[in-house]
Order: sequence, then structure tokens, then C-alpha cells
Amino acid sequence: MTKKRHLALILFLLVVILAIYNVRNGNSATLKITLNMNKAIYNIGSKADFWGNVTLDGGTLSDALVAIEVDNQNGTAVILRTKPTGTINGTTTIQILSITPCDATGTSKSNFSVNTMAFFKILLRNSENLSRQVEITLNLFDSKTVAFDALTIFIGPLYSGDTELFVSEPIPADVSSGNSTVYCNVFTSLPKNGGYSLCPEASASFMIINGRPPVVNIPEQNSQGMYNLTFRVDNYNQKTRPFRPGSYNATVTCRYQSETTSLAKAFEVVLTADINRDGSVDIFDAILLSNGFNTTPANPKWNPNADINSDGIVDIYDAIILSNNFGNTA
Amino acid sequence: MKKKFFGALITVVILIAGLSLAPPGLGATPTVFVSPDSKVVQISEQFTIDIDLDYAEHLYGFEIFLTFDRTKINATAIQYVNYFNTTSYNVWYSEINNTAGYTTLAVSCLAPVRTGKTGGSPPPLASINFTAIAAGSSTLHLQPNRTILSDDQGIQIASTTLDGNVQVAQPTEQVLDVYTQRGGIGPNTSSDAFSPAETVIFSAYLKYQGQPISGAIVQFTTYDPDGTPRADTARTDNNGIATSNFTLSSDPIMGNYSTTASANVQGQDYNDTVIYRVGWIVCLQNVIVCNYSGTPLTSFDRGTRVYVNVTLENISFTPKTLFLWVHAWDNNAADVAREWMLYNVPSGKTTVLLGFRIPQWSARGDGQLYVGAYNNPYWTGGSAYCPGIYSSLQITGS
Repeated sequence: MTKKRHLALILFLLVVILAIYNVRNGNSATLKITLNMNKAIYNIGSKADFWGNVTLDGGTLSDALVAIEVDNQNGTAVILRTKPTGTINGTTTIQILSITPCDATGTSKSNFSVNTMAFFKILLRNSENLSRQVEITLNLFDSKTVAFDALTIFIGPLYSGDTELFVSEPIPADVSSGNSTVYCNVFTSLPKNGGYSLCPEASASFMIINGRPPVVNIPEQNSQGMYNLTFRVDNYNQKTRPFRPGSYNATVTCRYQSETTSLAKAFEVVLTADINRDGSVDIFDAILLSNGFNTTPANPKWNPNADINSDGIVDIYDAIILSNNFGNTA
Repeated sequence: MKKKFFGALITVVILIAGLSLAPPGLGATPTVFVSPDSKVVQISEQFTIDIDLDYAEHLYGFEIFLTFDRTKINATAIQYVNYFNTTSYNVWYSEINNTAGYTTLAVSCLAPVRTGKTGGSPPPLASINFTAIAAGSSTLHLQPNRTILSDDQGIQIASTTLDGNVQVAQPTEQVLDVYTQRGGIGPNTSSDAFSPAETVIFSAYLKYQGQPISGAIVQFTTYDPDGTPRADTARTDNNGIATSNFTLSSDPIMGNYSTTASANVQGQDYNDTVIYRVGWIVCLQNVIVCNYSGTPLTSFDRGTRVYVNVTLENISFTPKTLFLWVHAWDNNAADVAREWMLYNVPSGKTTVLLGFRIPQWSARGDGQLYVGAYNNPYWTGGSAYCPGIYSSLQITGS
């Protein structure tokens, strides 16, 4: 009888302790995010696919917003986007009502020649009564899905009501002509600093003319419960271009209900055909390719860096790519 | 043992009950007291206080003598209130002296009737009406040697006295209120701000007992932040309003100004002050050309990012429409960046960071950057809130 009483008392105490623990810890849910990349090393000019999902207590969310930032070796953002994991229902308290390409006077304009200034008018709304500290960014992609600029255009309080923001953006000489896109995002701060998206991104299309030959955009896949980001690693060779060979870091963050999660992953960007990774495509790379010519991964002489097109064999196609890039430097 | 305890307890309870049921003051010295013992009144308010007696055996007559501060209150009447509950009484003497500040009353029953009260809740010995005439405090002092209780043999009944107090408060009605065309209504209330070259219009509203006073002289004295006075007078119109104004110079001393209006109503001085800030309504306080981290820089390579840290202050009480304009140009006066924001900036300080990229084609050399704050976009005729700020922008790079 006494033993039973003791057992009951211990059980009761356990229940009480657990209850207190739950109250003290807010019985918080577990929010998790994943990030996958189609490669760990990207040749300049190659396509990058990032994807992942967000789960709350193990259940996949199909209405979460994922903030994505890619930083170069200098810690400078080159990609700043917000991707949904599905359909976002309702409106957020912070909204980007519109982004409109225009001329210097604010009149709508859709064609911009390279080496001229493009302008964008952005209308934002804060439906809360209090101001919100925000970081507003632009990310511009040419027709080749190359991000030719990623820029913070505003950091400060976004006051209750509507705010109009007008910014200029130079269109560089070496971007591809054709249908281009500007994305506007509102973060609490940059994702690498723990910030997250306050609303879905807004985008606008515009035409770049007199640039490199136009190409067709890489279509992005969007599936329910998954976020997906596709872009092309810049193959232009100017010092101010976002993508240059080096180590990169991708950060994804998500805030859902009152939980926040983040994840960072590194990847490499290399100069195409720079087999020895010394920052230039030269005779040394040609020699390395020759040494591994006609090898496959099973071969002791296999050099994965020499398989430039990643088709599992070092062959004439890789040699042709090397020839085309011969003389390039980072 | 238990029984004994309960017995003792019951005895104590009965004793306490018995004491509480006994006639008030039985066996104690009677007290003549002012009721209520304290009172707060407004100027001009008429009010009444009572002179009460808690209990006195064989009371046959009394005299009370109450002094007060004649500069604060004046007695207007003193009445016997039939304490003896009989018509057979006589008021031997009553007096009100507002010059000396006292009032007195002497009453007794008349023979052969004798109706001295012996308990219960009798009416007061007397009621005294007063009028409050000035703010302040007055003791209602029952002078002991002239506050007398007597039995039917003419023998004084020993008694004590308790004084009262009247507090005459400042009038709740605001006699004089000065304000500007941008607010400040209410006693010593601030008005919204003014910018240089604006005309500040003061209005002083004078009223007394709810009625506007016309033809009264109101003096306006304005002090700038350095304490330099500027005086002016005006008469109130039929609505009780006197107005004055002055125009700020285009380069006034910035800071808090105060204007005090003064007037005399029925021999009493009244004044009210309005405080207002003079400055740029929206003022650009600081512009720093910097990098993303906020480190000030003056030199930037072509193709790189420039950030402008702008600190501004809205000194008014209300949000203002702000068109914040940032324009940068290179050595050839060609555009490097054009950015603007249009929003409602609330009161107080705000800091924003605006970013742009220098075009690769910009000319190297000395560029410039200008930040301006306007009340509307320039294309809708907006005007500047404050002087703009120029910064140098050295453009470098291959």
C-alpha cells in the first residue's frame, strides 16, 4: 500500500515537473529547413539549382517563405531572394504592392539599353500601426538568369502606411539582352545576419537591349512543399561581377509563426576549365587534361576537375571547352 | 476549563457591545467642532460649514466664536439650527466681521423650558455660510475662551474645541489661455513648431466665470532661446480674444521659444504660457557617405556600391509627408544615382541607409552627392523643408 502511494506520488511529481518544464520552455515547436544544391562546385557559367523544404514538428509546410542569400568570398550578397514552399495564403502586414521599371522621371518604361540607367519605383505598405525595421533589396537577373546585381537599397524603419521608393540601377555593358527580371525583397535584415522575409518578393520584367545575344531564361520549378531557386553562375569576366571563382556561402532562413530557423552551406565557384584552380586557364590546365584524357572515375588517373562538362569522362568535349576558355583569368 | 474560557469570552463581547451602545460622550468632555473638518472650494464658491457638538449633558446655552482668514474666505451668514429642538430659545448675539475675520453666535434656551439634548444625532449648533474669495488656505478656528457651553445654572460646562480648514483652490476655469495657430490650447500647453520666416500668430482667450471679457489688455511677452524678450499688447475683442503676431526671420535662433500672455481680471493677475519650437520642420541632421557597414568613405571605385546614411528629425507633433531626395553625379555632371523616398515621417529622429551602385561608365574624379528633404515631390511643386546637404564623392577605378 505504502509502495503504491509512493509510486503515485512520484508519478504526480513527474507530471508536475513536466508541466512546469513545458510552461517554462513555451512548449516550442521545432522548425527545420533543408538546403540542397545540385553541385558542390560550380563552373562559371553553369546552372545552379537550390531546393529544400521547411518542416514544423516534422510536417512539411506548404505556406512558408524562405529567404535565400548567397554571398561571395568577400561576404557580399550576390543573390537575395524569397521563395515560397507553396501557396502563401492571405496578405502579410508588410507588402510590396508593386515594382515598376521606369525612367528618371518615374514614367513607366520597359526597355533599357546597356550602359544606361534603369529606374525602379517600388510601392510598399506597412499595415501595422508600428514601424518595422526593414532591409529592402533588389536582385536583377538578365535573360541568361545571371544575377548581375544584388543590392540593399534601404535600411531603416518602414512606417505605418505606404512608402514609395525610387532607385536607379545601372545596366552593365556585358549583360545579356532580352527579358530580364528585377526582384524586390523586404527582410528584417539580411539572411546571413539572421534576418528573414517579411513578405513574398515582388518582381517586374523589363527588356535589356544592345547587350550580349539574348538567351532563354532557365525556367524555375516550383512544387508544393518545396522551395526552388535556379540561377546561372555568372560567366562574365569583370571584376565587379557578382560571381567570380572562390568560396561561396548560401544561407536560407525561415520564420513561421513564432519560430525561426536557418541553415548555411558552402559551395565553390571555379573558372571554367581552370583544372588546377590557380585562377587562370592556361597550358598547365591543358597538360592536366591531357594526362587524364579518356579516363573515367574508375581510372587511377581520373581527375574530376578535368571532367569539365561533368559527363563522367575526360574527352574531346572537355578539351574543346578548355580551348574556348583558354587565356581566361579570374 | 473550556466552559470558563467561553464564559470569559462572552463577558468581553457583552462589555464591548455595552460600551458601543452607550450614549456618545458619556462621561467624556464635550467637544465643539467644525464640520467638515476640511473642505476644498473654488474661488467664488459659496459653501457652508457647521459647528457641531458631540454631546453635552444639561446644555442650556452656548456661545461660539470662530475666526478665519478674511483674505481667503468671507462669512456671509451665521444661523442657529435649533439644536435644542424647541421654539423657546433666544439668539442673544450674532455677528459677522469680515474685516477682522470672525463670526460669533450666542444662543440659550428660555425658562422655564429646558430641553438640553442628551444624545442621538442633534442638528449642529450653528451653520455658517462663506464665500471663497482667493486661493489659499484658511483655518476655521474655534476660539476656546469664547466657545462656551453652559448649564441652566449658568455654570460653564467644560469642553474642548476642534478646528477645521478650508482650502480655496485655484479656479478650475482657465481665465487666460494663450495659444498659436498651431495649437497650445490649455494651461501651459506647447504648440506645434514653426520654421524660419513663418509668422507666429498668438491668440489669448480671456474669460471669467465662463464669460468672455472684452476690451481687456493682454500683454504678450516672447522669449527666444537666448532669453531675449519681445513684448506686445493687444485688447480682447468681443469674443474675449486678443491677438498678436510676429514673423520669424529667415535665419532665426533655433530652439524653444515661449510666449506668456498676462492680463488682470478683477484685480487678479492671470497668465498662461505657450512653448513652441522654431527650426526646420524636417531637418536633415547628418548625411554620411559610407559603405554597407556604415564606415564613412569618400572614394569609391566604379561599379561598387555606395551607401548614404541620412539622419533627419521631424520637430513637429504630427507626421509630415517627406520626399527624401538623393542625387549623385560624376565629374562630368552625369547622373550616378537618383533615388527618392516618399513617406510620412513621424515626429522625432529617423535614420535611413540608402544604397546605389556607381555605374561602370561614370567619369572618374570629383563627383558630388546631394540630399534634400521636401514636403512633396519636386514635380508636384514641393518645397524644401530645410537646406540640402552636399557631400563629395570621389569616383575611382579602372
